Amino acid sequence: MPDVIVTQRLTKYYDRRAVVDGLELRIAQGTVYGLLGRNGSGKSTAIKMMLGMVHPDRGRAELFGEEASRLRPQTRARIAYLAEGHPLYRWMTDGEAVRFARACSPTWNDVLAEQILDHFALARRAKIRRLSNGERAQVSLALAVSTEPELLILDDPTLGLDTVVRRDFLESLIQIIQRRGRTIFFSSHILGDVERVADRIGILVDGVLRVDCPTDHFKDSIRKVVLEFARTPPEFPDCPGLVSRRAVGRKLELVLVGYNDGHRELAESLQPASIEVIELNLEDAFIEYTRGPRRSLPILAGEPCDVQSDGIQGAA
Amino acid sequence: MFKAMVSKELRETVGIAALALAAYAVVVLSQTGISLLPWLTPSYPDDRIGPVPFVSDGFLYGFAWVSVPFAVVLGFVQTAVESARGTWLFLLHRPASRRRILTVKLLTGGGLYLACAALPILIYMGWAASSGRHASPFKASMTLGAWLVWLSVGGLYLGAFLAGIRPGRWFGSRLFPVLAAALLVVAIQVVPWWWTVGLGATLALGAWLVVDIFFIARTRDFS
Repeated sequence: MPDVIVTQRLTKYYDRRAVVDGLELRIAQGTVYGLLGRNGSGKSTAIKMMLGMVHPDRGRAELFGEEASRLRPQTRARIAYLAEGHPLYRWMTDGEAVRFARACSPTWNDVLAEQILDHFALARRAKIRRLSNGERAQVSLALAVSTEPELLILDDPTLGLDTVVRRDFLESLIQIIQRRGRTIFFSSHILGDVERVADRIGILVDGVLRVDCPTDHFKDSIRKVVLEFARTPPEFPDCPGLVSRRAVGRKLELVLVGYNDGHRELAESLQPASIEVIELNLEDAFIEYTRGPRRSLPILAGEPCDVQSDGIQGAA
Repeated sequence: MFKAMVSKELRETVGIAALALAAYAVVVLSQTGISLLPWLTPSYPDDRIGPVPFVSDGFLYGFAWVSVPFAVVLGFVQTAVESARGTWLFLLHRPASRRRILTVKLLTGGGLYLACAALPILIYMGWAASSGRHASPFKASMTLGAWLVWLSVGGLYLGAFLAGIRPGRWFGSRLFPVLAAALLVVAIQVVPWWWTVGLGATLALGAWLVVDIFFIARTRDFS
């Protein structure tokens, strides 16, 4: 499969702070990629650089082989983009927004647009300024998907939506994905959303892509190890794969990437009363991973993933 | 796509244009003796002949008082509102070049200003050219001053358009293009050699602002 999105050393500074730092990505056609990160981690800026809305200070981004800031209109027509907060012209009605988007798109699918509007029960005469956040997100999705894009880029599409609307929105998105088999790149800070939809994830921590691997692989790679002592817990030594260590009473909680025999032997050498290895769900794994000592986080890439003496190396 | 974009721009600015046309109507009517706002109507107690249209009446002042805010608000709304509502991201992702999208905006807004502002001059000109309206001769060349204001205030429209699209940390510094354009517009008004210098300066100002608008749109971050 050819790569639809390629970024090389993509970097952006705001106020001398790198909000995106050396982002290297390759997204193959047909992938559903979830870009995760806490608020302010650089997700939106990375997406805007990919679409040519923000100019990188260093590096480059390519979509369909074209430099992002020089996308031809024909190439842009192959890409749908849902910006954060679903900016639409609020004076328009749903029907006017559809007509405007249709007039601008050479590949507009009227039947699909009607189906999506009906599915969401959106009235054609309703003013966009009177819609709820959820309804506005649904209109945005209808406008984006009806252009029959080959690549759909969504910037935190479920931000500000309540749980029910979010679930509905994502299920519609899944239906669209299954029906069309498109490449989808979306950012989110809600792990449940990503887990349901993405087959590959990336995690940005302070602008640095710390994780880039299949979703299941990420979950499988992270373990929480709880060592219980009869006394005050000793210091756990630095080792490859250690994300965080925290003493809670007589327990020492460790978060490790690629837990292996080396880690187990190291833990046993501290002579704890018990060792408990806990599998984490994606949300817990993400929280543990992103709240660790940020700059020293091990980088997780590709599949399979092995812990080596000089850090974590991945064979893509 | 061109038609849809023009239609969108017109829908967003029609309210401003309607207000400006109403204000122009008050100016023209007050000059023709129909005073809707008596406290704004000029009086000429010592002048037995009465004011000469376009030469010694209050039309130019009234026209300028309406045209300047109209042009500034129009240009600013076309760009600053897109920034404030975050809709640049939606608009600029339409499958058209950034230059084309901005050209449509400029042609629509600029055309709207020129059309709306030309209307009161033409109507007042028609009134002045009709016999029996006033006790003075009338020639089309007497309207030159009004057309000069009409054209040069177009520079203010472009300055305001640029101010709205130009990123700036401090709101005041964003307004520099409007202030610069305003200074040049005033300077152009007092140039005595209109055909040789004034017209050229007006066109040069417009060209400089348009080039700057395209440059800013190409190089700024829409975040």
